[in-house]
Amino acid sequence: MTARATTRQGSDREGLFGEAGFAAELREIFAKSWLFLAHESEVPEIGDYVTRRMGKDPVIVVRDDYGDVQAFLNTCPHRGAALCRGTNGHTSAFRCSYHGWTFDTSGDLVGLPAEGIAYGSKFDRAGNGLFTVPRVETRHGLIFGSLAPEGPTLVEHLGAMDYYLGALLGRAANGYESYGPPIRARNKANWKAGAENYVGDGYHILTTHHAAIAMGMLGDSDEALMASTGGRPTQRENVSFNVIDGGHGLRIFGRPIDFDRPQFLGYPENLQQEFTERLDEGQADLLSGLTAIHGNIFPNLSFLESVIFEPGKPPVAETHFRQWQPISASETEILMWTFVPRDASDEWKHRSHVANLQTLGPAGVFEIDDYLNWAGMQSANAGVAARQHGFNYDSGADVQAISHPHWPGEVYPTNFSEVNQRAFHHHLSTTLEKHS
Amino acid sequence: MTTTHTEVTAAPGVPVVSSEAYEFFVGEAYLLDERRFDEWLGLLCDDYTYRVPIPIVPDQSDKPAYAPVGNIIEESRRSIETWVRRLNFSEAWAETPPQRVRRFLHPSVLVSSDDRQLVTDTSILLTWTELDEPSAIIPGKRRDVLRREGNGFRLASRVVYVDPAVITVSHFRILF
Repeated sequence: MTARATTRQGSDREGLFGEAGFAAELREIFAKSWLFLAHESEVPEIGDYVTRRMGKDPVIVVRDDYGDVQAFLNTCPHRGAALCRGTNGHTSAFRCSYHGWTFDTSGDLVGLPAEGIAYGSKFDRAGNGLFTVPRVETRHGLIFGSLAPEGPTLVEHLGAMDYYLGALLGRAANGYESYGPPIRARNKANWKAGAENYVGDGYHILTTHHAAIAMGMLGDSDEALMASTGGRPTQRENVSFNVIDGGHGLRIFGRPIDFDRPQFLGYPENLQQEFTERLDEGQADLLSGLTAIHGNIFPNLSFLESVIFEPGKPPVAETHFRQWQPISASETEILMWTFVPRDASDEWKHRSHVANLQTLGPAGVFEIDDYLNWAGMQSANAGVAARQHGFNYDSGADVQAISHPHWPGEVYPTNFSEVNQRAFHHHLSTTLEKHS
Repeated sequence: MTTTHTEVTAAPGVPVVSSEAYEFFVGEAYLLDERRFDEWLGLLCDDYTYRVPIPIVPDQSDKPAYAPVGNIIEESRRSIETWVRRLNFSEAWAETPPQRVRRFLHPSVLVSSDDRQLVTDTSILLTWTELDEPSAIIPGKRRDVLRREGNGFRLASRVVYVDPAVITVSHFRILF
């Protein structure tokens, strides 16, 4: 597939930025696909809940009285008032502030004021429970929900990405946890701008992040790292790859170093052995000797791990997940979580979070230069004339997938290419066309 | 904040305004508003820390309004110097052209004091104006620690409790 994709919806400018495309995405993608809701560590106890959105539908994500995570539309079945107005809480029941209908954590209507007087003796409580998000599943600590009652399971949806997420989050025996609640920031851009950046855009780093790189933020030279780890110049043909599967994609930015044993750069020594034991050979290879790995789970959950170097201290890895929550065709709320291994020390977790903030937090040296590009893509295409044009997605048009001994999905030996962005938009547009 | 001095009050329940702290902060804000960042760095202690906790909105009013774990910004004296150093690059895209930022400070309330330092609370309205956009306002409360040095002060730490739960300006590399 080569791609000066001027006509496909999603790759043409009208499709990417327009209101009609946005409405179709809400209807055909956000109301049907598996969407990330929360990390399980955000609702650890029975009665803990957080409020999130699925597309533009507000939902409550709660650990119910049986210890299971459920999600409900955050609206009273009676007259539609919002049940929870805050970001989070702990409760045994949700009581509507309008007429007092009260629901337990399983969504059942368990009380209503003056029931006999208002409704007589035959009121159907059972038929008036909360609107349940029909499917909620947890994988690698990530809670997803789908508003579609039927369709692919979460594991089927994740496809090849299940393997990569399993490597990233499954290598710690006790899993990962969220370091605090998500940071929330509005960006005056379409949700797809961030998603297509995270899915595989290595090319922008040279220019967008020039200042950060010139200031040494990408850390030690390969020579310095070889000296400190005992590694040697690589014999491998490639150390950087793009992987796609359906609309999902990830990019691996490796170092040209071969190590005697897997080196999970930036992780404490006590976790190195544990990670090695829990990962298969391909997963260990994936995460060893990284500069960074990043990707996007279709449609709007992105992740990135990078290794941050600070003078006089051992390097530290930071792993973050973020969600591009659509608000309108031209505005997105970005939710940002730092994930850390539960078994790391408090000091390490804190360092990892700070490393995340200083690079890809809302004040981070990399992050701030991304925002203006995405917002500029929106404002520069607000009119009629620009939207009559297409984009250029030609980078890496001739790169061929390789047969990889371990890694699932289509694996491309490339660093800077638009393979993944093309796959993201192709999946998006074919999904929309299927339903149009 | 780990400082645990007795709270300073003029009368039971009535906070005391610290004119010496306020004077310091007005001068400090002026340097920042005027983008005299190198001079501003000179006001910081070597162990200076800067932190902006994550605002949350729990439904239950007895719960804290800021996450006990996790921040939006967390910087040290060393890392904050890189904020200033970055401005020398023509590729400091997000800050080029610079936003016009002003800090409007309420007189500072003394939380505690001893012969070594003052701890103060200061309400701030930070205005942020970018390109041809309308001005944005970010309200918040600063909890500052001013360390006595000679006849003056240096800033030892700053924690900013911003009111908005969602960032709506184009980036948050902001010195409150």
